[in-house]
Amino acid sequence: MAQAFRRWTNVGSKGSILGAVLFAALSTWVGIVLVGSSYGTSAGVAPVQPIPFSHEHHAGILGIDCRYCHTTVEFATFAGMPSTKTCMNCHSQMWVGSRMLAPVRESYASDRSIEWKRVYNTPGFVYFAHSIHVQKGIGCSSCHGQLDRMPFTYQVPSLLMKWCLDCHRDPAQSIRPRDKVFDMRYQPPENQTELGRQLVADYHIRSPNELTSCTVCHR
Amino acid sequence: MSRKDLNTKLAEVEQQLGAGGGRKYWQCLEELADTEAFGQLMREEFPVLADIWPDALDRRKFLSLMGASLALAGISGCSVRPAPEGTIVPYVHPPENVIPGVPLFFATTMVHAGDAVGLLVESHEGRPTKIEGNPDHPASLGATSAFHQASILTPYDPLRSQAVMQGDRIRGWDDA
Repeated sequence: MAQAFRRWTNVGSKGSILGAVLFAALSTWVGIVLVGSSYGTSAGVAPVQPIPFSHEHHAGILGIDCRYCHTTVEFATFAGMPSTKTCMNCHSQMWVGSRMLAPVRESYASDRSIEWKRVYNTPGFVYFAHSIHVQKGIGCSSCHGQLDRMPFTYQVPSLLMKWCLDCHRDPAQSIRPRDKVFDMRYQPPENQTELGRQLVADYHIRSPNELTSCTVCHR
Repeated sequence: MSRKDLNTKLAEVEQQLGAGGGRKYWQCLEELADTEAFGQLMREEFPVLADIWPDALDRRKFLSLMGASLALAGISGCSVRPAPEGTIVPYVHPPENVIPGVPLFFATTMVHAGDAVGLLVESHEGRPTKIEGNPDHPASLGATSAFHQASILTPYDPLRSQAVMQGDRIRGWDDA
């Protein structure tokens, strides 16, 4: 009777074990890369908006304060999106006939909201409040980047959990004086670590232990 | 098939239950359903169901299919992109005092059983969600009864008027 297994099955069985290990490692690696990629996180991707709104023009060149449009950033979880009325405060006087602004006028006349594409989005299981960050000296540009130089708004950080934790573990590195929060051009001073520690104490910011507790963000 | 016929046919099936004497016992209904008499009965009585009567689907197959579908159901919850795209729909004319995400409280009174009680109504973006007593009300000092608490449901009563009415005519707030 012939052998049930030929000689080459020795090589084949070892090879398939090695192959299985390699396959598992490869798929784990692909998964990690995919989750961290800009496809997975949407970082660096500027969605096409109904109106090609430029933060560079409004916040940078014209110097309009963030809070003129994002009115609730200091006391609500949601920073607030400007109502059509807010746009029309200026645009009923300037660029009145502009074709680019037709959707704004149409929204104002028809009482139908402009549907902006969300740029920064967190999953439903994450609690994030703008108010507390602004009140404790985290500047807009720390997370939103140099919006005053951004013709089209895109997501700057990855918004991955490790990105949140980087700062919650050591807030002193990112904190700035409260009066500089809305300063888009703010550069951390030489003695940031020293100043940061001072501000952490002054603003009664909780210890990294408390800040990295699960229930701070996952409520 | 008439009622009487059905009874005689069923009697045949029933007879099978007691037919196995000695060491051969009837164990489960599936065994019974495999008999020709039952198949005949099924085709005659429920012609629509006869086709989908799971002849081919035995318990083992059923369990493995269920297991697989349960296991795969979890996969639909997985996504490389944890937060899919969404839209932000701001107001056109923002109502006064409304901050999205921050509840607004309205003081009101409710007459129940001849007694007026001061209440605070919690409202989220114009939608009343919770009723509690108004602690500043001199009579109730913030107390409520089950009726006051339950009255949160009345704004959502489908029988409630959907518009401002005067008599049987729809009128605006200014006309009324």
